[in-house]
Amino acid sequence: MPLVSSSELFERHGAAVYRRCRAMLGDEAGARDAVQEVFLKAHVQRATFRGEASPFTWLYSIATTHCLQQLRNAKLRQKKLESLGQEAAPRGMGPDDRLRTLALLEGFPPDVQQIVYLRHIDGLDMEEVARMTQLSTKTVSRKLHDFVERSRELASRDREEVRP
Amino acid sequence: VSVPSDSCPPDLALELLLAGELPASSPHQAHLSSCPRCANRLAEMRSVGEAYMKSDAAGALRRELAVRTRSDARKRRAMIGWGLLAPLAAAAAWLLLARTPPDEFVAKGSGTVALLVSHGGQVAPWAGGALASGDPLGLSWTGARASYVAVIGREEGGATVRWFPAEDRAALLEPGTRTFGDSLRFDPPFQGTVYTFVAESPFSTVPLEAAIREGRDPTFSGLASKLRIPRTP
Repeated sequence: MPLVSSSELFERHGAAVYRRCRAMLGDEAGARDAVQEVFLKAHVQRATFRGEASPFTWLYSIATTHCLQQLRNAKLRQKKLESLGQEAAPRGMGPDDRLRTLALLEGFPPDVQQIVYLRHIDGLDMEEVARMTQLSTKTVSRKLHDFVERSRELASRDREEVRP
Repeated sequence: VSVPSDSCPPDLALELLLAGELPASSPHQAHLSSCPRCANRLAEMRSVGEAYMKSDAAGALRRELAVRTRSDARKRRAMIGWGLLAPLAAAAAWLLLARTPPDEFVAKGSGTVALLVSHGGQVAPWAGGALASGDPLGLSWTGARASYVAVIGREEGGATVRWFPAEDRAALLEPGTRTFGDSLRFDPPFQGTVYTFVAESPFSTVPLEAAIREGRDPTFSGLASKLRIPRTP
Protein backbone atom coordinates (compact mmCIF):
# COMPACT_ATOMS: atom_id res chain seq x y z
CA MET A 1 0.00 0.00 0.00
CA PRO A 2 -0.60 2.88 0.96
CA LEU A 3 -4.03 3.10 -0.59
CA VAL A 4 -4.83 6.40 1.05
CA SER A 5 -2.88 9.58 1.58
CA SER A 6 -1.65 10.73 4.97
CA SER A 7 -4.24 13.50 4.88
CA GLU A 8 -7.03 10.99 4.36
CA LEU A 9 -5.68 8.77 7.13
CA PHE A 10 -5.73 11.76 9.43
CA GLU A 11 -9.33 12.62 8.57
CA ARG A 12 -10.40 9.02 9.19
CA HIS A 13 -8.38 8.18 12.27
CA GLY A 14 -7.09 11.47 13.71
CA ALA A 15 -9.76 11.53 16.42
CA ALA A 16 -9.04 7.95 17.53
CA VAL A 17 -5.29 8.55 17.60
CA TYR A 18 -5.85 11.70 19.64
CA ARG A 19 -7.99 9.80 22.14
CA ARG A 20 -5.33 7.11 22.34
CA CYS A 21 -2.55 9.60 23.04
CA ARG A 22 -4.69 11.51 25.51
CA ALA A 23 -5.58 8.33 27.36
CA MET A 24 -2.01 7.09 27.47
CA LEU A 25 -0.32 10.36 28.36
CA GLY A 26 -3.12 11.80 30.49
CA ASP A 27 -2.29 15.23 29.13
CA GLU A 28 -4.12 17.19 26.41
CA ALA A 29 -1.22 19.34 25.23
CA GLY A 30 1.09 16.33 25.21
CA ALA A 31 -1.54 14.36 23.30
CA ARG A 32 -1.82 17.04 20.61
CA ASP A 33 1.96 17.00 20.14
CA ALA A 34 1.94 13.21 20.13
CA VAL A 35 -0.74 13.06 17.39
CA GLN A 36 1.42 15.29 15.25
CA GLU A 37 4.44 13.04 15.83
CA VAL A 38 2.41 9.92 15.11
CA PHE A 39 1.05 11.17 11.77
CA LEU A 40 4.38 12.56 10.66
CA LYS A 41 5.97 9.21 11.51
CA ALA A 42 3.19 7.43 9.67
CA HIS A 43 3.71 9.70 6.67
CA VAL A 44 7.39 8.74 6.57
CA GLN A 45 6.75 5.04 7.22
CA ARG A 46 3.71 4.62 4.99
CA ALA A 47 5.79 3.16 2.16
CA THR A 48 6.60 0.23 4.45
CA PHE A 49 2.95 -0.32 5.38
CA ARG A 50 2.08 -3.58 3.63
CA GLY A 51 -1.57 -3.67 4.55
CA GLU A 52 -1.44 -6.83 6.69
CA ALA A 53 -3.03 -4.78 9.46
CA SER A 54 -5.79 -2.24 8.98
CA PRO A 55 -4.67 1.40 8.79
CA PHE A 56 -6.37 1.95 12.14
CA THR A 57 -4.40 -0.85 13.83
CA TRP A 58 -1.20 0.33 12.20
CA LEU A 59 -1.68 3.92 13.39
CA TYR A 60 -2.69 2.72 16.83
CA SER A 61 0.50 0.71 17.06
CA ILE A 62 2.60 3.75 16.11
CA ALA A 63 0.69 5.86 18.64
CA THR A 64 1.09 3.29 21.43
CA THR A 65 4.82 2.89 20.82
CA HIS A 66 5.29 6.65 20.63
CA CYS A 67 3.40 7.26 23.87
CA LEU A 68 5.28 4.50 25.66
CA GLN A 69 8.48 6.28 24.66
CA GLN A 70 7.03 9.55 25.93
CA LEU A 71 6.18 7.91 29.23
CA ARG A 72 9.89 7.53 29.90
CA ASN A 73 9.72 11.22 30.63
CA ALA A 74 9.55 11.42 34.43
CA LYS A 75 6.90 14.17 34.58
CA LEU A 76 4.59 12.48 32.09
CA ARG A 77 5.12 9.17 33.79
CA GLN A 78 4.16 10.62 37.19
CA LYS A 79 1.07 12.19 35.67
CA LYS A 80 0.12 8.86 34.12
CA LEU A 81 0.71 6.99 37.35
CA GLU A 82 -1.54 9.44 39.18
CA SER A 83 -4.27 9.15 36.59
CA LEU A 84 -4.02 5.35 36.58
CA GLY A 85 -4.57 5.33 40.31
CA GLN A 86 -7.80 7.28 39.83
CA GLU A 87 -9.06 5.49 36.76
CA ALA A 88 -11.76 2.92 37.09
CA ALA A 89 -10.58 -0.20 35.32
CA PRO A 90 -13.37 -2.10 33.65
CA ARG A 91 -11.71 -5.47 33.97
CA GLY A 92 -8.41 -7.18 34.57
CA MET A 93 -5.88 -5.72 36.98
CA GLY A 94 -6.75 -3.32 39.75
CA PRO A 95 -5.17 0.16 39.92
CA ASP A 96 -2.23 -0.93 42.10
CA ASP A 97 -1.27 -3.78 39.81
CA ARG A 98 -1.56 -1.51 36.78
CA LEU A 99 0.74 1.02 38.44
CA ARG A 100 3.27 -1.71 39.16
CA THR A 101 3.00 -3.06 35.63
CA LEU A 102 3.58 0.35 34.09
CA ALA A 103 6.61 0.86 36.29
CA LEU A 104 8.04 -2.48 35.15
CA LEU A 105 7.59 -1.87 31.42
CA GLU A 106 10.74 0.13 30.89
CA GLY A 107 13.61 -2.06 29.84
CA PHE A 108 11.46 -4.46 27.84
CA PRO A 109 11.44 -4.48 24.04
CA PRO A 110 8.81 -2.21 22.38
CA ASP A 111 6.70 -5.14 21.15
CA VAL A 112 6.51 -6.64 24.64
CA GLN A 113 5.73 -3.23 26.13
CA GLN A 114 2.89 -2.81 23.67
CA ILE A 115 1.42 -6.25 24.36
CA VAL A 116 1.63 -5.80 28.11
CA TYR A 117 0.10 -2.35 27.89
CA LEU A 118 -2.79 -3.53 25.72
CA ARG A 119 -3.47 -6.50 27.97
CA HIS A 120 -2.91 -5.14 31.46
CA ILE A 121 -3.36 -1.36 31.22
CA ASP A 122 -5.93 -1.15 28.44
CA GLY A 123 -7.60 -4.32 29.64
CA LEU A 124 -8.07 -6.02 26.26
CA ASP A 125 -8.57 -9.76 26.17
CA MET A 126 -6.03 -12.04 24.50
CA GLU A 127 -7.82 -12.17 21.17
CA GLU A 128 -8.19 -8.41 21.02
CA VAL A 129 -4.47 -7.98 21.82
CA ALA A 130 -3.64 -10.49 19.09
CA ARG A 131 -5.81 -8.57 16.61
CA MET A 132 -4.21 -5.24 17.54
CA THR A 133 -0.66 -6.57 17.29
CA GLN A 134 -1.20 -8.87 14.30
CA LEU A 135 0.24 -11.76 16.31
CA SER A 136 -1.25 -15.12 17.19
CA THR A 137 -2.83 -15.50 20.63
CA LYS A 138 -0.17 -18.14 21.33
CA THR A 139 2.63 -15.63 20.68
CA VAL A 140 0.86 -12.98 22.73
CA SER A 141 0.45 -15.45 25.57
CA ARG A 142 4.11 -16.48 25.42
CA LYS A 143 5.35 -12.88 25.44
CA LEU A 144 3.10 -12.04 28.39
CA HIS A 145 4.37 -15.10 30.23
CA ASP A 146 8.00 -14.10 29.52
CA PHE A 147 7.24 -10.61 30.80
CA VAL A 148 5.84 -11.94 34.06
CA GLU A 149 8.77 -14.32 34.56
CA ARG A 150 11.36 -11.66 33.83
CA SER A 151 9.59 -9.19 36.10
CA ARG A 152 9.64 -11.73 38.93
CA GLU A 153 13.36 -12.26 38.42
CA LEU A 154 14.00 -8.53 38.51
CA ALA A 155 11.84 -8.11 41.60
CA SER A 156 13.62 -10.90 43.46
CA ARG A 157 17.02 -9.44 42.52
CA ASP A 158 15.92 -6.04 43.80
CA ARG A 159 14.80 -7.61 47.10
CA GLU A 160 18.19 -9.30 47.52
CA GLU A 161 20.02 -6.06 46.82
CA VAL A 162 18.14 -4.10 49.52
CA ARG A 163 18.49 -6.93 52.10
CA PRO A 164 21.01 -5.84 54.77
CA VAL B 1 -23.64 4.65 35.58
CA SER B 2 -20.05 5.98 35.77
CA VAL B 3 -18.60 2.87 37.41
CA PRO B 4 -18.00 0.13 34.87
CA SER B 5 -19.23 -3.34 35.56
CA ASP B 6 -17.10 -6.41 34.90
CA SER B 7 -18.89 -6.92 31.63
CA CYS B 8 -18.21 -3.37 30.40
CA PRO B 9 -15.59 -3.35 27.63
CA PRO B 10 -12.47 -1.25 28.15
CA ASP B 11 -12.17 2.09 26.33
CA LEU B 12 -9.88 0.55 23.77
CA ALA B 13 -12.53 -2.02 22.89
CA LEU B 14 -14.98 0.88 22.43
CA GLU B 15 -12.39 2.48 20.13
CA LEU B 16 -12.27 -0.71 18.10
CA LEU B 17 -16.04 -0.66 17.90
CA LEU B 18 -16.01 2.98 16.76
CA ALA B 19 -13.41 2.17 14.11
CA GLY B 20 -15.38 -0.84 12.92
CA GLU B 21 -12.48 -3.13 13.84
CA LEU B 22 -14.57 -5.56 15.85
CA PRO B 23 -16.84 -8.10 14.18
CA ALA B 24 -20.60 -7.54 14.42
CA SER B 25 -20.77 -10.74 16.46
CA SER B 26 -18.54 -9.24 19.15
CA PRO B 27 -20.21 -9.43 22.59
CA HIS B 28 -19.29 -5.74 23.04
CA GLN B 29 -21.83 -4.80 20.37
CA ALA B 30 -24.64 -6.42 22.29
CA HIS B 31 -23.38 -4.95 25.55
CA LEU B 32 -23.45 -1.43 24.18
CA SER B 33 -27.15 -1.49 23.39
CA SER B 34 -27.99 -2.50 26.94
CA CYS B 35 -25.46 -0.47 28.95
CA PRO B 36 -26.18 3.25 29.39
CA ARG B 37 -22.73 3.76 30.93
CA CYS B 38 -20.94 2.46 27.85
CA ALA B 39 -23.31 4.30 25.50
CA ASN B 40 -22.49 7.53 27.35
CA ARG B 41 -18.79 6.70 27.32
CA LEU B 42 -18.94 6.14 23.57
CA ALA B 43 -20.71 9.50 23.06
CA GLU B 44 -18.10 11.18 25.24
CA MET B 45 -15.25 9.63 23.24
CA ARG B 46 -16.84 10.81 19.98
CA SER B 47 -17.19 14.30 21.38
CA VAL B 48 -13.53 14.42 22.52
CA GLY B 49 -12.40 13.30 19.08
CA GLU B 50 -14.61 15.77 17.24
CA ALA B 51 -13.36 18.64 19.41
CA TYR B 52 -9.78 17.72 18.58
CA MET B 53 -10.47 17.47 14.85
CA LYS B 54 -11.87 21.04 14.98
CA SER B 55 -8.91 22.35 17.00
CA ASP B 56 -6.11 24.59 15.76
CA ALA B 57 -3.64 21.77 16.39
CA ALA B 58 -5.54 19.48 14.03
CA GLY B 59 -5.75 22.29 11.45
CA ALA B 60 -1.99 22.84 11.62
CA LEU B 61 -1.32 19.11 11.25
CA ARG B 62 -3.78 18.90 8.34
CA ARG B 63 -1.86 21.67 6.53
CA GLU B 64 1.51 20.08 7.31
CA LEU B 65 0.41 16.72 5.93
CA ALA B 66 -0.98 18.38 2.80
CA VAL B 67 2.33 20.18 2.24
CA ARG B 68 4.30 16.95 2.71
CA THR B 69 1.97 15.02 0.44
CA ARG B 70 2.36 17.63 -2.31
CA SER B 71 6.13 17.69 -1.85
CA ASP B 72 6.30 13.89 -2.08
CA ALA B 73 4.17 13.96 -5.22
CA ARG B 74 6.57 16.45 -6.81
CA LYS B 75 9.55 14.26 -5.85
CA ARG B 76 7.76 11.19 -7.22
CA ARG B 77 7.04 12.97 -10.51
CA ALA B 78 10.67 14.04 -10.72
CA MET B 79 11.82 10.48 -9.98
CA ILE B 80 9.47 9.13 -12.64
CA GLY B 81 10.81 11.76 -15.04
CA TRP B 82 14.39 10.76 -14.30
CA GLY B 83 13.39 7.14 -14.41
CA LEU B 84 12.11 7.66 -17.93
CA LEU B 85 14.95 9.94 -18.98
CA ALA B 86 17.71 7.68 -17.71
CA PRO B 87 16.99 4.84 -20.15
CA LEU B 88 16.53 7.39 -22.94
CA ALA B 89 19.86 8.99 -22.09
CA ALA B 90 21.49 5.56 -21.90
CA ALA B 91 19.97 4.63 -25.26
CA ALA B 92 21.17 7.89 -26.79
CA ALA B 93 24.67 7.35 -25.39
CA TRP B 94 24.65 3.79 -26.72
CA LEU B 95 23.56 5.00 -30.13
CA LEU B 96 26.28 7.63 -30.16
CA LEU B 97 29.09 5.59 -28.68
CA ALA B 98 28.32 2.02 -29.61
CA ARG B 99 26.05 1.94 -32.61
CA THR B 100 27.72 4.71 -34.55
CA PRO B 101 31.34 3.85 -35.13
CA PRO B 102 33.72 6.75 -34.73
CA ASP B 103 34.54 6.65 -38.42
CA GLU B 104 30.96 7.48 -39.36
CA PHE B 105 28.87 10.42 -38.37
CA VAL B 106 25.22 11.19 -38.60
CA ALA B 107 24.58 14.21 -40.71
CA LYS B 108 21.74 16.67 -40.21
CA GLY B 109 18.73 14.92 -41.63
CA SER B 110 18.74 11.16 -41.61
CA GLY B 111 21.92 10.02 -43.30
CA THR B 112 25.36 8.80 -42.34
CA VAL B 113 28.51 9.91 -44.01
CA ALA B 114 31.72 7.92 -43.62
CA LEU B 115 35.24 8.77 -44.61
CA LEU B 116 37.20 5.82 -45.96
CA VAL B 117 40.83 5.24 -46.65
CA SER B 118 42.23 2.85 -49.19
CA HIS B 119 45.63 1.42 -48.34
CA GLY B 120 47.28 -1.49 -50.12
CA GLY B 121 44.05 -2.33 -51.84
CA GLN B 122 42.13 -2.54 -48.56
CA VAL B 123 39.40 -0.04 -47.86
CA ALA B 124 38.81 0.82 -44.22
CA PRO B 125 36.85 3.49 -42.41
CA TRP B 126 38.93 6.45 -41.44
CA ALA B 127 38.23 8.33 -38.23
CA GLY B 128 41.21 10.62 -38.29
CA GLY B 129 44.77 9.62 -37.55
CA ALA B 130 47.86 8.92 -39.60
CA LEU B 131 47.64 8.30 -43.32
CA ALA B 132 50.29 7.00 -45.67
CA SER B 133 51.42 9.09 -48.58
CA GLY B 134 49.30 8.59 -51.67
CA ASP B 135 46.46 6.87 -49.83
CA PRO B 136 43.22 7.86 -51.47
CA LEU B 137 40.40 8.95 -49.19
CA GLY B 138 36.87 8.02 -50.00
CA LEU B 139 33.39 8.98 -49.03
CA SER B 140 30.31 6.90 -48.56
CA TRP B 141 26.85 8.34 -48.17
CA THR B 142 24.07 6.18 -46.79
CA GLY B 143 21.37 8.79 -46.37
CA ALA B 144 17.76 8.12 -47.26
CA ARG B 145 17.88 10.77 -49.94
CA ALA B 146 20.51 12.44 -52.10
CA SER B 147 22.53 15.07 -50.23
CA TYR B 148 25.19 17.66 -50.95
CA VAL B 149 28.61 16.80 -49.51
CA ALA B 150 31.90 18.70 -49.31
CA VAL B 151 35.21 17.88 -47.57
CA ILE B 152 37.71 20.64 -46.80
CA GLY B 153 41.12 20.24 -45.20
CA ARG B 154 43.07 22.87 -43.25
CA GLU B 155 46.81 22.59 -42.87
CA GLU B 156 48.53 23.60 -39.64
CA GLY B 157 49.81 26.70 -41.38
CA GLY B 158 46.25 27.81 -42.24
CA ALA B 159 46.08 26.93 -45.92
CA THR B 160 42.91 25.16 -46.97
CA VAL B 161 42.56 22.32 -49.44
CA ARG B 162 39.21 21.47 -50.94
CA TRP B 163 39.38 17.70 -50.93
CA PHE B 164 35.91 17.05 -52.24
CA PRO B 165 34.55 17.97 -54.70
CA ALA B 166 36.94 19.65 -57.08
CA GLU B 167 34.46 22.50 -57.61
CA ASP B 168 33.67 25.18 -55.04
CA ARG B 169 30.10 23.90 -54.64
CA ALA B 170 29.09 20.78 -52.70
CA ALA B 171 28.49 17.72 -54.84
CA LEU B 172 25.18 15.89 -54.83
CA LEU B 173 25.65 12.29 -53.73
CA GLU B 174 22.94 9.69 -54.22
CA PRO B 175 22.24 7.31 -51.31
CA GLY B 176 24.72 4.44 -51.31
CA THR B 177 27.36 6.45 -53.15
CA ARG B 178 30.92 5.47 -52.47
CA THR B 179 33.50 7.64 -54.15
CA PHE B 180 37.26 7.81 -54.28
CA GLY B 181 38.41 10.79 -56.22
CA ASP B 182 41.89 11.98 -57.01
CA SER B 183 41.20 15.15 -55.10
CA LEU B 184 40.82 13.09 -51.96
CA ARG B 185 44.22 11.52 -52.24
CA PHE B 186 46.38 12.15 -49.18
CA ASP B 187 49.34 14.24 -50.13
CA PRO B 188 52.02 14.71 -47.41
CA PRO B 189 53.32 16.71 -45.75
CA PHE B 190 49.69 17.60 -44.97
CA GLN B 191 49.09 17.87 -41.27
CA GLY B 192 45.88 19.37 -40.03
CA THR B 193 42.14 18.98 -39.82
CA VAL B 194 39.54 17.63 -42.20
CA TYR B 195 36.02 19.10 -42.16
CA THR B 196 33.08 17.29 -43.75
CA PHE B 197 29.84 19.06 -44.61
CA VAL B 198 26.51 17.50 -45.57
CA ALA B 199 23.28 19.30 -46.40
CA GLU B 200 20.06 18.60 -48.21
CA SER B 201 20.35 21.88 -50.16
CA PRO B 202 23.20 22.99 -52.42
CA PHE B 203 25.85 25.14 -50.74
CA SER B 204 28.99 26.95 -51.67
CA THR B 205 32.28 25.93 -50.07
CA VAL B 206 33.79 29.45 -50.47
CA PRO B 207 32.60 30.99 -47.18
CA LEU B 208 33.37 27.74 -45.40
CA GLU B 209 36.94 27.71 -46.69
CA ALA B 210 37.32 31.36 -45.67
CA ALA B 211 36.23 30.65 -42.11
CA ILE B 212 38.45 27.60 -41.87
CA ARG B 213 41.42 29.53 -43.23
CA GLU B 214 40.89 32.09 -40.44
CA GLY B 215 41.01 29.32 -37.86
CA ARG B 216 37.29 29.45 -37.07
CA ASP B 217 34.91 26.53 -37.18
CA PRO B 218 32.23 27.40 -39.72
CA THR B 219 28.86 28.10 -38.15
CA PHE B 220 27.19 26.27 -41.03
CA SER B 221 24.66 23.77 -39.70
CA GLY B 222 25.83 21.17 -42.20
CA LEU B 223 29.17 20.65 -40.42
CA ALA B 224 29.10 16.90 -39.87
CA SER B 225 32.59 16.08 -38.68
CA LYS B 226 35.99 17.49 -37.86
CA LEU B 227 38.84 14.95 -38.00
CA ARG B 228 42.51 15.43 -37.37
CA ILE B 229 45.45 14.13 -39.39
CA PRO B 230 48.64 14.15 -37.30
CA ARG B 231 52.12 14.74 -38.63
CA THR B 232 53.15 11.97 -40.98
CA PRO B 233 56.49 10.44 -39.91
